[in-house]
Amino acid sequence: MNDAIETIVLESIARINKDLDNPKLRHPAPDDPLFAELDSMAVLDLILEIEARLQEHLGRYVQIADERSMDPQKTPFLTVQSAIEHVRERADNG
Amino acid sequence: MAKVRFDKGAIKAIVTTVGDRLLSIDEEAEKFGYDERTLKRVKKSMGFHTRRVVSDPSVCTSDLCAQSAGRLFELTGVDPASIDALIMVTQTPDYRAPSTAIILQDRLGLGTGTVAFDINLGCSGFINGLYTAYAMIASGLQRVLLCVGDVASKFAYERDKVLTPLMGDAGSAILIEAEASESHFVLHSDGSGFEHLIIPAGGCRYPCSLEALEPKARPDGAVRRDVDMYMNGGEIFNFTLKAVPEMFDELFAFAGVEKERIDYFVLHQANRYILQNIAKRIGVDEERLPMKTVTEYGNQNSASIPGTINAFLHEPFSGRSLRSVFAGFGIGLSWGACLVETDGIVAPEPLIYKGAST
Repeated sequence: MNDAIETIVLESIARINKDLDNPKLRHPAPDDPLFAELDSMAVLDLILEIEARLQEHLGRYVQIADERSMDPQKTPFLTVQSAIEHVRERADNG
Repeated sequence: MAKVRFDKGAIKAIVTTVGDRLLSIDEEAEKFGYDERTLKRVKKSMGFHTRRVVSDPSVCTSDLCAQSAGRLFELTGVDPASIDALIMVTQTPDYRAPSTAIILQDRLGLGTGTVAFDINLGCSGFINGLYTAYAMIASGLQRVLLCVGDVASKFAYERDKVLTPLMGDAGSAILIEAEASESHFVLHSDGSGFEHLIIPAGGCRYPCSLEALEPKARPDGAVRRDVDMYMNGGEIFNFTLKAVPEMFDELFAFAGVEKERIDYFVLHQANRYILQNIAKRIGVDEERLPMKTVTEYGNQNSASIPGTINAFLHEPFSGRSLRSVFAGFGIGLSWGACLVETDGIVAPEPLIYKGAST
């Protein structure tokens, strides 16, 4: 499950980066900054991509976005690792 | 706490007029500086496709609303002189003063015994206007005409790639009459977020000046003047995802109604992602929560709820009794929702603006 979530997040970042073409997101590592490398629409794209892949994986819709999503201080998408942990938490409890 | 139940007041007709000029995001992409990738992204994430605006820059919201009201009187056979109150909800009035509603009172042939005033609200404006109309009915008036809408091209700078591609022009007229019908409203305001969606210049705090009219490149990548609308998309996104689902829970608990008993959820058409997210959160499919308005017409501000009814729900609203939830959320910050009953109202498809401004 945990590996699957990590894969979903990493594949989602790779998918949106096809459009963004940000060199810093080509080989994302857990401690890499994420939010700082995205514009607001890219954050939205990433959320959409993760939600779609997670729904396919779990067979149910889980909401990834919340009121912290676009907050530079509180966003769960601050780093790649924090995004994985957030998605994992949502998959377990959402 | 603004939670209110009314046992009298019913919507009898809704008519919406939209801008006569159809713009396509494909054609506008160059103007906004979108490359092919960005264009693809805004189409997918935000649902941009086409939007309708007025072609004549001298046309005001009142012109769109006047066409809607004129058609409403024709279709219902209601005598304009029998209207007791006229409420105009807009952020784009004809003048800073007087109220556009009072000018419309004369223009539409309403009597001088009509109470008329403006309400300055955007995305939540239809809900607040409807609440005010129902409160007037509860106070003893028989017929209220509610006009809502904006000509957003008056406040969205044409080269602002963040806000402008979202905006559409529309003006609706809604007739509310004193008739037994149950409705519930919940209304909220939070001025701590006023700077997240704002036209900074042109009021008394920052009067219009040469500096305010100068286009400037902004930190969000957009170009706009201080007299134009600014939206902090991230803050508005965060606010919406927090406030709107909570508001639905509050409304259902207050009304004692379960969501399964609601025929339609007609929400302010902010953007496609927000609507999809809310729909999933409350477990309602697109058939009961339409979300194509922003894709075809653009975000119509306070006219987006009546505009959605006219564009996509005119058959059910015209044909049968319905229990619907309406919800608006945005500038202020301001948000509100209501649960209302309608019974075969006059709700034609949207009109294309064709009149001359006056």
